[in-house]
Amino acid sequence: MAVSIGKAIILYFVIMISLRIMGKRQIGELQPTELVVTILISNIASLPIEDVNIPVLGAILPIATIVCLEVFVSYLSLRFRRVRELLEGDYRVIIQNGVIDQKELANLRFSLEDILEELRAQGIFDIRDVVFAAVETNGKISVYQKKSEQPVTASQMGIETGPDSLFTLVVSDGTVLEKGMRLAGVDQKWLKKTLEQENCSSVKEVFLLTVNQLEEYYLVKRGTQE
Amino acid sequence: MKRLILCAIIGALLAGSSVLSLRYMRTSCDQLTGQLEKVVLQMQAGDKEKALAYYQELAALWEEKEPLLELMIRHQHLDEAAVGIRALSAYISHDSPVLFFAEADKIRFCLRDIWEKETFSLENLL
Repeated sequence: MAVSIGKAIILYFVIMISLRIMGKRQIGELQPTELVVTILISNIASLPIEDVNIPVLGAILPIATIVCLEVFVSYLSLRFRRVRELLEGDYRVIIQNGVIDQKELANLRFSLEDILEELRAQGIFDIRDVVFAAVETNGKISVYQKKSEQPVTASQMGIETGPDSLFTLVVSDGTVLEKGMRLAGVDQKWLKKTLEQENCSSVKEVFLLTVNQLEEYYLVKRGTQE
Repeated sequence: MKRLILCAIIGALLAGSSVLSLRYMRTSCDQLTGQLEKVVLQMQAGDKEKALAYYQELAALWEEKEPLLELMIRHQHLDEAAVGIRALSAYISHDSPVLFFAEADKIRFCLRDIWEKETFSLENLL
């Protein structure tokens, strides 16, 4: 039993490292090849854990091989459009100028119910509101609604919105995040001043601190229940 | 680009290690088979003492090779060979030539099977 636990720990870290090497694409929306790779890796990793006769290397080596192949293939997909089309396909337009392409739907083996379900998930309950819809390579449907049905924007209303600025996390659970501070354009001096303003003797007392480029911040102290 | 280079290095290491590991398996199995043949020859000649002496060398060689082989091969395959090798000692000591030769044949097959299954061949791939 201890052997299975040990193997599980080793393979856990091997899979983590493999996913990191393959990159963020793997963790987000999956392309067909990425789905295959993810399933393969998880199945291979389980073999030595289930069967004590199989050495850990019997999983690590195939996993390493698959990771290398995946990185090479994704690099080729990036460099050569033809490879990308071959492996991932291309998006397919199913609605154009409000007209449903029934032939394309049949090719994709999508039923009308599938389309309507996806539209409802995006808050569209009348198919007549759709100008353009395409099925992406990961199976998701992207939709462009008629302008008359789209939510109004501030610019359309002629409303002044002020400068755009993103709040970034600079302190997380007592730890200062240098990357966040760089993104927000603040420094240690500003942090010290802010802590003093909020009666915090050290950054360890801070649970959450976010700030934008205008130095507008939001601070939550540790132990505070809102 | 960094990932690509890292994967190229890992790929090269994988290719290199598979060649080296197969070579080690083949060499080890050949050595073990060679030593086994020495034991078999002495038993065929009826010299129990020399057979036992060669057997001790075989057992020592197995002890030396087994740990590294265990990293590469299913333990079940190695266990079959290990059990066979241990049994030889009893067959030599208790003068059981029939059982000895049968077991020796089994071990010979196990040892050949160990590296044959790992060879990069169409048969193994399919």
